[in-house]
Amino acid sequence: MKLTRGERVFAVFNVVVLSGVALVALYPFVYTISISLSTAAEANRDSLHLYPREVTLAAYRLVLSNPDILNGFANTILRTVLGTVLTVITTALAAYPLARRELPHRGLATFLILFTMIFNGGIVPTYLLVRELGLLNSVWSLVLPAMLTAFNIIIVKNFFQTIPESFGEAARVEGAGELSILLRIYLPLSKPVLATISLWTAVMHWNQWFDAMIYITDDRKQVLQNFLQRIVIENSTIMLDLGMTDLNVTQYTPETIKAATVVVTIFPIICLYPFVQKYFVKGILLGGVKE
Amino acid sequence: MSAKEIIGLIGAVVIVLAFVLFYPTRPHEKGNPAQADAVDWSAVEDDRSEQLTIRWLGPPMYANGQEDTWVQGLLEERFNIRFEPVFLDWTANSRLKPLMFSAGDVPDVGWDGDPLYVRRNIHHGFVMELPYEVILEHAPAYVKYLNQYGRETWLFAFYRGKNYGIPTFAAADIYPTAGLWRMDWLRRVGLSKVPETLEEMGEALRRFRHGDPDGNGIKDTYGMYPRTHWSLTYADVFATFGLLPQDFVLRQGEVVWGGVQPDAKEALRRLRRWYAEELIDPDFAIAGRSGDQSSNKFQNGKIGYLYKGGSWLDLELKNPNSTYSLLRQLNPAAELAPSRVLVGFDGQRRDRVWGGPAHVMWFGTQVAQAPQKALRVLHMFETLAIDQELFVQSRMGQHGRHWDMSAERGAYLLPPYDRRGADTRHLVHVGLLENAYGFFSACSAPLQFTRGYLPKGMAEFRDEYSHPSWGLKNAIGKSDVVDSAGRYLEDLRHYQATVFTEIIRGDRPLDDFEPFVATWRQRGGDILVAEANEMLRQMYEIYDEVGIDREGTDGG
Amino acid sequence: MAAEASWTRTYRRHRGLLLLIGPCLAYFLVFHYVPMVGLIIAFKDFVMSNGVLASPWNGLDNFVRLFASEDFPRALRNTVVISLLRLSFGFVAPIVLALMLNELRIGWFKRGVQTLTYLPYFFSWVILGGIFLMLLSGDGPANNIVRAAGANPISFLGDDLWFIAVLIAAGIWQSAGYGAVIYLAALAGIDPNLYEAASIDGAGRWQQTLRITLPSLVPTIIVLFILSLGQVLNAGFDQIYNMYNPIVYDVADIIDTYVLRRLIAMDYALATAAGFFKSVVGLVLVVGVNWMARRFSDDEYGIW
Repeated sequence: MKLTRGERVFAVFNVVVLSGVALVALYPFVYTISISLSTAAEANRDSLHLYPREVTLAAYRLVLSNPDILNGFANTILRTVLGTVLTVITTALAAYPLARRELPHRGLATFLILFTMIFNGGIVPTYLLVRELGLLNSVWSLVLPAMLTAFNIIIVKNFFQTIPESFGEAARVEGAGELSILLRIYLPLSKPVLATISLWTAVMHWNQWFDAMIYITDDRKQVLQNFLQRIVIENSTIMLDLGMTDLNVTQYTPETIKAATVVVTIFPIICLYPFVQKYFVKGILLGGVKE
Repeated sequence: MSAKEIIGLIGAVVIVLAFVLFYPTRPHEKGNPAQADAVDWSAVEDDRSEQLTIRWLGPPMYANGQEDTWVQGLLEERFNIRFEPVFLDWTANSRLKPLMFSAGDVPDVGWDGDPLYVRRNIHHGFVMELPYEVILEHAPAYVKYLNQYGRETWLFAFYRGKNYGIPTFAAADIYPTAGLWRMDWLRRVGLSKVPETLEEMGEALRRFRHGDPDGNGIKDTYGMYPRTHWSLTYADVFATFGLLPQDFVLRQGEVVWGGVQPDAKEALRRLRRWYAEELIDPDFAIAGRSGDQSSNKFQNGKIGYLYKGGSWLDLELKNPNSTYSLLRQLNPAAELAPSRVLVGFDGQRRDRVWGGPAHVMWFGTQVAQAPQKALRVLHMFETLAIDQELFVQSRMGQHGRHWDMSAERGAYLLPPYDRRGADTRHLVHVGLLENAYGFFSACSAPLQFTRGYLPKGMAEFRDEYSHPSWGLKNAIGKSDVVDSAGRYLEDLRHYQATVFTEIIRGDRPLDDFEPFVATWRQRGGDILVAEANEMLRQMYEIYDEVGIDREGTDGG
Repeated sequence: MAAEASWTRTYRRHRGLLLLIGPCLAYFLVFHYVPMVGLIIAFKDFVMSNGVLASPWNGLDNFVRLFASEDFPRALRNTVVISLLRLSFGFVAPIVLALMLNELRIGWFKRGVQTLTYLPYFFSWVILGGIFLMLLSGDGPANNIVRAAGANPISFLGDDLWFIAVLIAAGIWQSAGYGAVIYLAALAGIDPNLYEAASIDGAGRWQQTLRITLPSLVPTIIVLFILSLGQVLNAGFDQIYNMYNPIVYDVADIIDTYVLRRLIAMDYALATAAGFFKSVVGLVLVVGVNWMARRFSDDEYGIW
């Protein structure tokens, strides 16, 4: 279909504007990476810092030799792996019965779970609960409270419901138990939705800082985001003080240290992003369009 | 079972779970702190040959401190203690510490800087009571110094009729620290001496802004940059009126709040004019979380006057890390002169000081199970108050290894301990020996201890630029000592700071001052002032108990 | 008896399913419902070392203190204002972005832009806040541009109005791409025959957009709008906490940041009271808005 002149103008305008939008989305990250690689003199220069004119790895050396950062990395990886695995398993275990129409009191169970999406106890009661359960200062305080969410369960449940009942029926007739039906039939068919859930959960755990802030008071168990927060938001200068023993002061500034810490923190996500992008998209669709 | 029965069952299960999980402990009366186990102090004995393990949470000036330093070892050996130190930075001290306590991680010995936090910890049952008699009996020399230098601190540890810790003092805080003027700028704009009155200061700042003092042809300099801490913001100007804007001051025997006095408006009038003339760097509104930029601005040659940055140490050219040296590195032609405490309108010189009252070292409630720890710590404080050499070592480390002495420099740190961060890592801190807080002693030295360690000329410098008689301090030590401080103080301070900033910046007219005062009073200010006067009365009562002569003045 | 027998039989027959759902429900009871019981702290004078049950009741005292204070009503006001601002500006942005993306014909460019625009969504505001703090500082690139344009440096994060503007803009920056994906999916679901028919009837692109595209998006828009309204008391804690500072508390302090500060100040009862208020209002809103949506659309729209 031939485009009118007006439509052609619009198409060009569209491309220009969207390019601008994409650049705006990208610039803050480019800036941060650039600063993280800049020398002190370069970092202090007035410019847009699209790329570093003088490069140094000093800030990275400092950041990566900081025991807190390394520790935080380890703890974050631990909570992410543990949390994701547990969430996927338990969500599937929870969604399956809810997907089956024969579950006694199915409506009630669904309601009980759904209700938690629109009302909850809040920060303080949950904190007290975690405290009484003895979970403070352990990775379980980060994993358990968020392990099962109504949202995830609904998504998986909806997906399970698209699997024909006849599959399960056939197996049940042969005497298979519910658990084995779930494991042998439903799960293999659910790889996409489970992949999506696990990716969303992993990202959530990687980014999560608030629960660690109130549940973890022992720095040995603290996660990366919170150390990052101390450095970039609260302007803690401990790393500067620690690093000032022998390195030349002109190699880094508080800004380059902050930038390097940020880059180190987002590095894993950026690396994985291109590969898992489509699962993220699927996830948004499953979550947003359906109920 | 029907759906209704199921719901009932679930509800019951939930409630039972809640009861089981949120189990009750000791009940208490509404508003009173949790009843701790009472200790029979007369029966407690401290066997000094028994090693005690003490978990010690000291002041947050040693954020990067490490365990098993020489200082720690010195005290451990002398007093047969095994320390478990906990190091926090200032942010962690206010944010993380309460969470630690809630999580059950309460140290044996804790530090709190402001009575507000001491009170809060007492109220939530984390702190053990420590009667006056016990302190007087086991640390009389310490108490003598405390009464001499920082008597108001007794109020900080006082709560509902009882005492809850060991107050500490900061002897050198009675000296109002001088500020700094760029002498080279003053000369270039045609002034020959450092300002002595508010008028002269205004003129100097004016020329700093409009007279191109750095000679680069660009109007890129300002006169001053306000310090961000509430105790210091524009304190120099307010002090000329005899006021501390965000504190209680004593006027004619009564406690009043500085910021709502009629002469506060005059201070604002002056500052407002200065801002309109562009004498104040407007960047302070951006600083936000980045903290106080005034030192940076001064170092970078953006402003010509720095309030409270001109102590003897800051001016020490021989020390490569002093303010003067760092400034010279960036600008070899820079010349500094200490500021003079301004002469006020009544002819008196006054400047803000914290005065002697400092903080509180308290004991966690679990120490009630092992009260000999408290006696041991009191013994340690007492010994440090008597044994000058031990005190110096606990503060600066080993002579010859961590520090050395010279007539010119006084006591100074030896490399590698003199690098930034290295001193606090090893728990040594020299600086002005008096103002330093040791991690394990957490109070500063009696002045007679430190006289011998001062650089030559420092005593004279202090007499000339920081004479203690000019010190203007809070009438009751710290404002958050009053009962309702938790409820109103921070809000009111913030409200006042906002209104003052807006008036100064011209966002509001000066005549908004009176309505501000009315609102301030109504929003809890009247209550605070009434309670402050009550606290004053209470303070005098405590003085009677700990042997302070009400009419006496502070030492120094 | 007969009825009970049949229930037991049903349970036995489906015990596999019940065994699977049991632990899950137990988890919800412990981690979600038990804290709801803990909400009673809001009506007590709570002291940590005494526990929930032993602390004495003080009726509505905490709520009175809450609303009589300066902080909480301000936080409430700010929460609503910021949410409404986000709703007004932030709601439209993803729709516009999706419409524009939809018009693109070049596959790789479209995917590229999409990828870049929803990248920011995957980072916490500790990261993004840190980046923006650097970008917007007095010496940062934003102010470099301002200075180059001849103006005085702007205190983006220290000025009430600028802070809110930055907040909303940064929020859109983060979430527009993500929202656009949802709308794009909906757009992809529109029957192309409708467009064919319309163009045969002589309607131009613009007409088609107005008459076909937008109306087809309405169900999605309504669902998302209802969800957003239910969230109106969540004004974006993650972002605000990591970007705000005491200077802008007047406009930036929201209920969640207020609660957090109360928690750290060990003012547990007040924090719980505020949280309780928020949860109740949120519940009422979601239920209420959904009811209204169903009522005014004859049950066509709505979440349930």
